Amino acid sequence: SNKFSLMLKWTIILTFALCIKVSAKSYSQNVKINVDLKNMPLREVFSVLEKKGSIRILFSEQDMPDKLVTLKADSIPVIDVLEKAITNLNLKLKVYDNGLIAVAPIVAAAKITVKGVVSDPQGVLPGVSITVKGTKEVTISDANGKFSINAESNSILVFTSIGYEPLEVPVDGKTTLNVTMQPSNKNLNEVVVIGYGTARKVSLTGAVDRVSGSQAVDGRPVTGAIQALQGESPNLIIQQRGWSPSAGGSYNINIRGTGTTGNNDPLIVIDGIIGGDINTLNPSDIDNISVLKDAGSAAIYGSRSANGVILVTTKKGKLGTKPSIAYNGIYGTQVPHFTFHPVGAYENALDKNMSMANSGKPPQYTDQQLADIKAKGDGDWRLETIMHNAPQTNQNLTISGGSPTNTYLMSFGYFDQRNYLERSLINGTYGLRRFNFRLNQTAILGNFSTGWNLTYAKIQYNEPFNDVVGDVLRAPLTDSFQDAQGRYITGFVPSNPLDLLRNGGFQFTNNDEINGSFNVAYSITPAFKIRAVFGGTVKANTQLQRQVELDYYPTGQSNQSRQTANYNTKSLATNTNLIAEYTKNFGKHYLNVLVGLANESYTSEGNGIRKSLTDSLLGIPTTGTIIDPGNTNNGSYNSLSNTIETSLNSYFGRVSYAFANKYFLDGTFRGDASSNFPKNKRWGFFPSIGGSWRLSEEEFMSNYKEKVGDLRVRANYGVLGSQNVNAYQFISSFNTNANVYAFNNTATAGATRNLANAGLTWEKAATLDIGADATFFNGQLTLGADYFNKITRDILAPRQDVPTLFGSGFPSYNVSKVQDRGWEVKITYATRGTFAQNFSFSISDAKSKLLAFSYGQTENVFQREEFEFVRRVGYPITVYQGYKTAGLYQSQAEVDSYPRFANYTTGLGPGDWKFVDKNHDGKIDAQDKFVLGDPFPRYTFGFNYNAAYKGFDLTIFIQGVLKRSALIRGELIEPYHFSNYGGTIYDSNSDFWTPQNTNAKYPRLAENGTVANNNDYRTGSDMYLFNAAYGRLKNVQIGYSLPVGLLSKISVKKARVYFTAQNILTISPLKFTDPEGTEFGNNLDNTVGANSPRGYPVPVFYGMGLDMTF
Amino acid sequence: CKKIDLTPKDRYTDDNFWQVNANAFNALATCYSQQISGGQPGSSSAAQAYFYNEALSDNAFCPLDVNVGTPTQISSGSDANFNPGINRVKYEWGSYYTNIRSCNLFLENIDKNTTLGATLIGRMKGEARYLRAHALFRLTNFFGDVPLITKVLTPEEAKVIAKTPKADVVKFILSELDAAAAALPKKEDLAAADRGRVTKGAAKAMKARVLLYNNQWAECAAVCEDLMNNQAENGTYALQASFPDIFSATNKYNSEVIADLGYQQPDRTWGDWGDFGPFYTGPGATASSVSNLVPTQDLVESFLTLDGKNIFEPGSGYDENNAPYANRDPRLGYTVVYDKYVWVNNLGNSQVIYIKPGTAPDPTNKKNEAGPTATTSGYYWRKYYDPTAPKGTFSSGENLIIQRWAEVLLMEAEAKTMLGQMDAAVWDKTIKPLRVRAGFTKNTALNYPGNTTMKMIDQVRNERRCELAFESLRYDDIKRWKIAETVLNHQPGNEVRGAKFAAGNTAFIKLVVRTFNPAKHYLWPIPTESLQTDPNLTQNPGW
Repeated sequence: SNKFSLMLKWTIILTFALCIKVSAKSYSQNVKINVDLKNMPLREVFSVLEKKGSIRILFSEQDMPDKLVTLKADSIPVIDVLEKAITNLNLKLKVYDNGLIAVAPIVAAAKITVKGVVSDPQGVLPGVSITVKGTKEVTISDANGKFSINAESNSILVFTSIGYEPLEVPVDGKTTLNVTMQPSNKNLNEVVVIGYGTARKVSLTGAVDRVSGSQAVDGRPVTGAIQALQGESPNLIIQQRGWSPSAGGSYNINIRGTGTTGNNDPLIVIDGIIGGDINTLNPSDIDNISVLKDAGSAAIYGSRSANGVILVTTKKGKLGTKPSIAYNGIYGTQVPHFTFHPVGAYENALDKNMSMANSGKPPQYTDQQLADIKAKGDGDWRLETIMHNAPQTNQNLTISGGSPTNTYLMSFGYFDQRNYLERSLINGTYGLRRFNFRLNQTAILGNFSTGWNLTYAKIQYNEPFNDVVGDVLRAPLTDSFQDAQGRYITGFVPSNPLDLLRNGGFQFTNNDEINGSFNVAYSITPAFKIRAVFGGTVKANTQLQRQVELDYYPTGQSNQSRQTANYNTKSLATNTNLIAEYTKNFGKHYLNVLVGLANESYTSEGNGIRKSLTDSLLGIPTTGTIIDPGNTNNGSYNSLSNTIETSLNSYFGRVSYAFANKYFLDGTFRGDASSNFPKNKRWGFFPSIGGSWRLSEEEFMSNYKEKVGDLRVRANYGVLGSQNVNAYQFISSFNTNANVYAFNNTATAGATRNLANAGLTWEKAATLDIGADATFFNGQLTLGADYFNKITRDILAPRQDVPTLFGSGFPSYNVSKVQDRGWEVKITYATRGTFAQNFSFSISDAKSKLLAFSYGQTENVFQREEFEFVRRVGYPITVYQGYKTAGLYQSQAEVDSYPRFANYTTGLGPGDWKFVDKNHDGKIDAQDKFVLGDPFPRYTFGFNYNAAYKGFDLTIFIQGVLKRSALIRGELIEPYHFSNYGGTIYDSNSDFWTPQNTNAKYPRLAENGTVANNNDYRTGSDMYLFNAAYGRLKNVQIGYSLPVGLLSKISVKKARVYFTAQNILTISPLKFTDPEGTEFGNNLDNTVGANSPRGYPVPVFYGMGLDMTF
Repeated sequence: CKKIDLTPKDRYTDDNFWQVNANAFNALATCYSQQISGGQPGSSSAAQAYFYNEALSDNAFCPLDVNVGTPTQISSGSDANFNPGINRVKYEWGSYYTNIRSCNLFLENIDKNTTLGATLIGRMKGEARYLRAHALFRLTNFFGDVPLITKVLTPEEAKVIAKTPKADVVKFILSELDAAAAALPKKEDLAAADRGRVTKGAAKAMKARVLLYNNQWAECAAVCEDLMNNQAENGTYALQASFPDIFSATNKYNSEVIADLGYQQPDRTWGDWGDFGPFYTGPGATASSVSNLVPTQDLVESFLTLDGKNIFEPGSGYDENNAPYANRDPRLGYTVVYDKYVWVNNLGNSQVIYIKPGTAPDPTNKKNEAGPTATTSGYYWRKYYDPTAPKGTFSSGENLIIQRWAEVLLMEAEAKTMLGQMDAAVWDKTIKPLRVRAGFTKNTALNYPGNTTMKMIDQVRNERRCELAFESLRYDDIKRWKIAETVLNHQPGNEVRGAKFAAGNTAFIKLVVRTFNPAKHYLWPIPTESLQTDPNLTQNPGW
């Protein structure tokens, strides 16, 4: 912290140095004079002042009023004395550079009504905002581009419209003004939010992509901000791992792929506050999002920027606008899309008998039983019985406006997504509700400008206590959930999912979050500003779990321990920033310097209590109730053992220089000191440098600029950090664990020593980015492209180079090195006019390569069920490994002649897998394994199309992944999974080998424990490998906006009704499960399990929406 | 702004840990808790490893063996599923070295404590040395030659350590157990609060087991006789009068127990029994919902008739089609649940368990019938059933026995037989009391049969199997007797059998194929990750 206070001192000194005004131009107007005049005519006063102040005053004799002036001044600049002399005389001064001062009367102009039509080169332009400059008078052009406004005859009208160059037209006494607006040169004027400020897009030297909130959110039934962002920006890769409504959502989100074996989460910054929760944010409140992808743009966030940064800016009111009320609402139905189905009960029984016969076992079902099953028909033990269409609604109301010095915006959001699952009879339907309230205000007080944001979010999430989907899938269709008397019965599965959903209990999450931020900026001079930003977030998260005991017929129970549990977590995050910024134009030179200091602190504490054997109806303690012991993750615990504190001190800065709007240079740096690292390893320094060049502004390119458009190239390089480790890992300490053993029938605690790494420090990512931006066809087509190469070293992970006989796990070490390379391209094309269309397409790739693994160790294989996940130098971060199948045996002769596993001397037959003998040694063994695939998305793309014609509009949004491998196991692939775990075959695995179906996709049926089953299903092979590429029609909207003329009569500015549909079509070679599903989380540690999908079906949403603005 | 120097508030550090007496006891308790583990990746469930190891032997079969240490994949012997890269091998190896590190850490640091006193610290060191020797012993059983680690290693030391020949490791184990026995009190000298800690008797009994496993018959017999004859010095042990009482949660630390894994209701429990027992045991009674570890027909057949005859011996009276479970060693009924077993449930009520398909009188009872969703072998387990678990649960506080007095008698019998010294006198002190306690009454079963040595050793081994089934010893036994390839090889057509409930109750259930290759499977492979990270380690033969 000594270093920190040193930095503070330096910043203060720097601040003062910049404050000292060096400009001291001496005009004669500033000559100080003494006068004492009484009742003197104005003309004489002027001549006295001319003499005493060595100035010349110009005036027209007849314009001067006949007034006598009394004036006394004591060493006051002559200009001020003159000002005083004409006070209240309806006169004004104009000072010229050469010392001349003109005095003239103030003339009031007449008010007139100005009418006209606004158009652009292609036709009339509705919706243009027209204001009288310097006043509050404002109007909007109607559907035919017509407008009418009251203005003084000498005033100036300002025409503004998004996508057009603002236009100022003097009235000059005219009552009719027809104006033509020019489409804006977007590249020149578009402003994007960057770290700690904004920048014109044209001046950027880094890869920053801007996503407008309206494009990502409007009209779409998105469940949260992350879902809204999927496909919106190239290489902003979002995988939705699960679809069930949940408080946090199941997403993997990364920018430019996986660059580290640790956590790949980007840093989230909301309204300048680092570490905000994007899951609790109301998507409708988003004004825009900037995605900072490279070192040039992200390095100012230093130690947490290695995975890129997502900057969210929320909407605000506008200065000088009337109150506006905007409502938008969507209501619709989610329809579960079932991608697999169990085969019928009778077919299943026949197949089971075939499986038994193939295994040399007697039939499972006698002929009589088969006949009975056939006669009885299918039962209802299937997903369709417990899952129903479920409603979803998004409702938002926003009130905003502003005076010339204040703005306000208030928004209320309500989101409700019900779960498909059969409702609970004790806690209502399952699903998620989110309530959002936001108040954003700004105020200008002289040289101060201030802003306040206050938000409140409430998340209520009701989910079943028991995860039942797996048990629904296991049983054959011979089973039903209830018998004729309505009793919940058990068949193949020892519990009853329907009863569990209805009566088995629930987990109810109820989270509250209050976030407040305050910022104040002070302009010391027009060029020099200082500002302070303070933000704080308080979260209070609670969960109540109820587990209700159930008895089934004829036998079986669930939830016998009748737990009732409460878990509470409270956290406070504070964020303090002090920033000084200097901006100046010197002729063709532009300079912006920003320096700042910041602290972020976080504390969270949690406690929980779990009671077992509570009252079966109420969940309250009763006779026999006990309190479950436990540690931090379950059972009961106090906040002492569940408190996390972290703190980060930082200084940062940026210098931006531009010459002639042609050459741009940026340099940024940040120093961070984190409490997660030991004292001598605590500080990290993260610099970047970047430049860009607008070739099209050069003389020699003028021809190109005229005929083609803008062209600019940019490059930057920098070092980013990651400090993603658990706290306290540099201190060796002892964990005390309750109840590890018992002596004398009394439980005792145990203590284990945590190894420390005293050398723990930052993960560092050196990133090179080269990009180009170009426009074509008069700006209608824009193209942006980037190439990047990122080398992340000192990756934080437990050591893997020490044999397990060492006897202890490791804390994080700075071990691995990964290269992440790729590119991204974004193309937009827009046409204007009455049939306006907008195309936007982006595609990107990111490929990782492990360069170093762990202290010289070059590979690690982790076995997961039948599969192997491999981390190996020279390959992507994690790849699948296993055997390759070489077709199915078609004859015993073939079996006898083909290489196989040594111990399968007998037991293999036609219909079993052959495997590729990679090393041609005549047998199959571990040497014959191949790297089978890369589980991470490659070639992610997004396509957005908007069209508008006479009030009608259409939006189509497609998103997808062109290359990904997935190893998938479980009952959807293996018939009768492990024979006793799975009781059925699905349409997804019913194409199995039989003597009549020799060209089958899957091997013959065989029971668990047989050689055939071991060979075919217990062997991790490419049978389990699937191509998980996909394209998904994420959203379609068809809307109609009512004519403005009609609406203005009822004081409505805008009204749009629309139909919206989400996820209506997915095209993928992987059909029986959602191709987005993955076993990997965003933290690519090697504790992940294999993927046995039995997830919540993808919701296909159909709904109607209404947008109204008053 | 928060301070940047943040330290955890819920943890001791190296500076202050050992001075606090409670911490010293906690560190030692951790060593105890790690005695048996390794079954499942990331889990240290000792009970799971204890029970599911039976499925590595001919006593049991585990249908769904993911997450329980994959005994089925290992016993399949398939190169695809039992190889140096699998998790079970890695965790089996790693978990004992974790235990050894905990013991070494304790032994190297406990002297930093200045308040416990030399006597108590001496005893505690003895406990840690016993536990370290025990972990090494288990390692040698699985892996043969293993690194002998007697101090807290640095990562650099761990990366170059080599294997020590098994004979030398065993020598070290024996000397450590001697040292532990000298430092430890006999069980009567422990305070009541310390019951469950290892004692002089436990150290000696473990030494006997180590000697037995290494075919040092005379030395083994000497230790057993020391335990049998010098009870005043070593502690007083005796057989429980009733067989099921040995395992009762309400009869812990009984006269028969020498060493066990400590549990307690409700704070330190094990719940695996929910996967072992019948599915319906009477109205309102607790019942299992999954059958994931089932006794084999082979185990059931090993129990003698009440005459003391092998069931396949002429004149045994055994009829596999007619009341096959009647007239059998009463321990059969204390160990497994067979068709029409009369079960006393946790409410104290009796219930007939119908397992033979098509025999249950009603849908409720039908739940127990053999089939894919109930027992796959036609049998359930009985031993270690805890009726005192809270109603509706199998959350048991029963201790799991590591060594008990019956084993000392069996070791004495086996050693003496191998020495050719088995006679009526030895028999009457070893096998006979076990059979009396089991409930045999006929002289043909109780008296010394006077057979030839070869037949006698089979009898002693069979006695050991029946007495100690489901106590996690069988896999070691079939390996050290070198009979594993005989009892574990089950090729197609000759699958591991369940009861005669297949094909309309006319054929034995065929459970699973197994391969045991004597050229390689007697020792498990050294895990790949250790070979890759330590160039001085060598792989075991055949792997």
